[in-house]
Amino acid sequence: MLIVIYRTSIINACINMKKAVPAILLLFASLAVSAQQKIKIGGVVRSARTGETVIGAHIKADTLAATTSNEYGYYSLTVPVVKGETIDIEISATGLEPYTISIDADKDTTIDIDMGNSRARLDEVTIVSNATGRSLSSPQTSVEKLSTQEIKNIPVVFGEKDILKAIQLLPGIKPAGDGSSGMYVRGGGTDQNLILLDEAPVYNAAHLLGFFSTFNSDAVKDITVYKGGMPAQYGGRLSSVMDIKLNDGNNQDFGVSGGLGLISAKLSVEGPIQKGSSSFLVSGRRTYADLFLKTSEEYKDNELYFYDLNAKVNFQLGEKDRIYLSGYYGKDRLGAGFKNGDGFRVDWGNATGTLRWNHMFNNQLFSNTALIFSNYKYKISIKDDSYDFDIFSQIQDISLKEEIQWMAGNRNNIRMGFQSTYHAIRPGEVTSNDDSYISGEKLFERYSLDNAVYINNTWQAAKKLNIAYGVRFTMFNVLGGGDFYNIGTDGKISDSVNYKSGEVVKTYINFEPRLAVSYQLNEVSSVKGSFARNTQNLHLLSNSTTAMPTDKWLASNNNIKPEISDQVSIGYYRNFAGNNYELTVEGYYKTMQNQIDYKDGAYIYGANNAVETELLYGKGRSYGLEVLLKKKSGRLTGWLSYTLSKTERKIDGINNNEWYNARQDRTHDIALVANYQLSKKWTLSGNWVYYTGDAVTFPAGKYTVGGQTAYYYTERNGYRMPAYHRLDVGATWKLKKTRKWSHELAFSVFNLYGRENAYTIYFRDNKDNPEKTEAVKVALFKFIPSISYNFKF
Amino acid sequence: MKTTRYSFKLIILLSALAIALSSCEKVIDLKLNPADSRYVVEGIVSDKMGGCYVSITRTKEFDSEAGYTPVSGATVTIADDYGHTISLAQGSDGLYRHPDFKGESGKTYHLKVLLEGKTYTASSVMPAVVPIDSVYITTEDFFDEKYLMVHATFKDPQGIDNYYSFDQYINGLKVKEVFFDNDELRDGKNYDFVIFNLSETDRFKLKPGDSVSIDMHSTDAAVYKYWYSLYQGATGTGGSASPANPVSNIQGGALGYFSAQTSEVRSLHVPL
Repeated sequence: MLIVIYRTSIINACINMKKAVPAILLLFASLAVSAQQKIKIGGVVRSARTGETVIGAHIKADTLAATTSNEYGYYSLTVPVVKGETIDIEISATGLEPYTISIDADKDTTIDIDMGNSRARLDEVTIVSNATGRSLSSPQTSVEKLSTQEIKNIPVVFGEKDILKAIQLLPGIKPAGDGSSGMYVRGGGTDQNLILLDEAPVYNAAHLLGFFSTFNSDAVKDITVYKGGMPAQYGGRLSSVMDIKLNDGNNQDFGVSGGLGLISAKLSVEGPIQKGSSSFLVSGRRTYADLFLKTSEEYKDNELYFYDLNAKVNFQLGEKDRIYLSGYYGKDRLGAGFKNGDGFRVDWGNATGTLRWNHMFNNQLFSNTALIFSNYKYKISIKDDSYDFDIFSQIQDISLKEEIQWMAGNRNNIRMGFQSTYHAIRPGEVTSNDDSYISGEKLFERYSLDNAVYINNTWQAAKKLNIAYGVRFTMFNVLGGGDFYNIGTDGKISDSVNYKSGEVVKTYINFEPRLAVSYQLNEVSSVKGSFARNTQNLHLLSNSTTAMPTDKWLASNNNIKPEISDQVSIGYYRNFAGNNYELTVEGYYKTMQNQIDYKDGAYIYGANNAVETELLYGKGRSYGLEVLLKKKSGRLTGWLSYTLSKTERKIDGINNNEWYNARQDRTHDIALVANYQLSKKWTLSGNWVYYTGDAVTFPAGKYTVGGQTAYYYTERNGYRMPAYHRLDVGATWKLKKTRKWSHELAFSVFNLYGRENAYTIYFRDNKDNPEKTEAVKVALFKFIPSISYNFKF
Repeated sequence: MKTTRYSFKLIILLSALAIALSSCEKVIDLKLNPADSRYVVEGIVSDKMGGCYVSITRTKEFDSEAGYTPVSGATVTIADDYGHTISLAQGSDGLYRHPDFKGESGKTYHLKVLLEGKTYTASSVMPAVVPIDSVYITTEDFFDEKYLMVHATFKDPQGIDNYYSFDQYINGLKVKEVFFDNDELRDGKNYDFVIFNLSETDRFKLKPGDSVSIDMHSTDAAVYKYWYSLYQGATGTGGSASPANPVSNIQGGALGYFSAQTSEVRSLHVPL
């Protein structure tokens, strides 16, 4: 059934594209033709010690050509033939020793490059060569990257180096607040970020009230965050793409690393299956604090734990092919009294599986095929003398992706491909295990097919001018099985139509142009600009201050249209002191259409097949200025980031149909991050953050009904929470470091000066004087010290 | 060896303590901009004699510590669909009443309030009565404290949408909360409704020796929606991301609600 729908939809999309594609390809191909005879050099860049592919390595052929390795470590260079001469190929990458190889410049050559670890001493101020700094020439704006080396230097929070926490210290990426796992990127909502872990989407990015990300940061090889100007191969969310690549596993030697913190323990094992050509990586984490809860009389019926597991294997099949199989499984559980038969339990988690195949046709043509499966679900179980029922919700995705990367000469790098995802959403059903008090209620399972076809070219138009242009066509099919409701202008159900399984209910076609330009002013500075349109077909409906597993994910349907955003971004980029300092100044303006919010008093709990009767739609706009100053080498490294921004919404039915501040509107956002190499054994780190409080709705008065004190509200989000700021400090003590093994102790204090940052402000009657009402501020985390022990063999 | 085990234990203890002591609540001073005062109308039509009244008050500023004074000078009428209209007069307690009026299940009532040149209207249908089978008290554990809670058992009528609300009186004093539910997932089932009174104020907390009574009402959908939206977004609890005024069934711009509801009272004495 699935295959039939899939094939029909793709064929339909292809028939439309078929006419356009040859023309487009011809246009792109003509750019690659050139008169002089050329040879092509290509291959994979790897770390000699571990066999890990190197992303973003810079490869230069004398002064003739330069390129960077792609996300799978592949690179390609085209150089003119010079018979009888040799060409020097120089390769450099952060944290690795630069490498030069000479080759005969008369035929196509495949060279795989194995780079040794950097031999630079810690206290040397190494002049970071132009090549390994951020790229001034790349037309990509609005991007933040953290390399393996930079990841090692991020501040320690709760004894962990958490990738997602670290990117929230960069401009434009804001944490949703204490106790929350969400992120706001350039004024967008928490559901507008596409988090990809080895190409699989992650729906639930954090464990335990946002403290820990759902994957082990030790296993991360590279993270790139696009806040705007995404190239055409990315799509599906309005505000950002967080592309995270994990390590593949050391294919030279076995390695074990792990750590024990106050809350959780982690362990990673990696090694070769066949030395030099295949390897595996298994990495897991679990909290163990709950084991102590069991020993306490008072808390023994409470459950609080999470665990996650990443497993990967990869095989090199011959010279041209590589296969990767990876899986992720993570779960959180929170429970009170449930084991006793009287209480509740909440389970939620993600599972993903990916099969990928890299194929190198030749030195210029590279293909990546991926088959991805993802399952996100949550379950709330409640049991007591009268009730025993579960509320269950799930999103299952199956995706097929294919991308061809055609490194057509040195001036053109073309990516084209398609992505097709089948979503099956169970929006929330109630199962009663004891029919005498509660009956179950099942909702229609919702199916959809999310397809995209794209093409993108990064073109070096002139010596100083680079242009990336492309387009992404998306076609979203809402599929049947079930009743679909039509909503009248009064917001109520007018009628319902039944669709058979697999029938197309509605199709949304969107055309997302992407354009980015960079102009290099001189050796050390450039200006860039970009425009991107994005659409989003999965929407998170939430009405709580913290991200709860009860927040509903819904796909676009006959009533809910795809969200669309358009963003323009311009920036100025400057390197100082031999690329030791990087200054980035970027401004952006983003408009959002078809934004969704709940009506006042919307019935959000329980099972509701026509939740659209509770929804309102409108638009949003967001603009701002981001400044980032980074110091990249020396004993002291770190950065200072500042964002000035505004984000608003205008939704009919809210705030008298006028523009109002979105909850995530924060005028100022500052982060100061520092990492100091005190000695060979000690590293100190610290970060200070400050941001304007969220826009909130506070009462303008009060009254009484049924004896209950009620508050009277006028405007939406017209007030501000108090400003948030805190200082975290950390120190790492390298106990021992030899070639064979190393271990260290990491100390950290979260919120050193114990500022009681407001998590929420609520209102209540004074306990002693019933006529008096008071405002109460709740702060979650004050001063939290933490120790963790980490080792590595 | 000994010192490492001891320090390990100490670290665990300290960290548990640190996290436990970490969250806190504090009363703060907030500068809130006052808005123009609005009228609040609470209209009840009960099927029990003496249970019908209309209360009219105003919104006050957040900082006000004065009580809610009833508003005088309103012309209040209640009509049914058969052309009967009654006028309510303000009594000494400030509430507008009629001496011998009571409502009937199945009928629709229309409220009209004329006040300072403005008219506020509302309609409500009185549902059939759902009788209480029994009431009893249990002790429940919440957040390490014990609470005495009253249960009301009844059978939900099958096939129709039912909406319920409960008032609780402890030693004659009304608890400042309205407890409510609908019969979603419970249509036709035996219902054990727990009055979740978690009040911290002494006189509203049920204790041994207290006399307690509960008043169970069957209400229409609009009244249920009023209580639902009130508790979801207007009681100041901070759980909702977007607090808002409740969805009222009163037209004309007044806050509040109008409910034609049945009434069933049961009383209990809490044993010492």
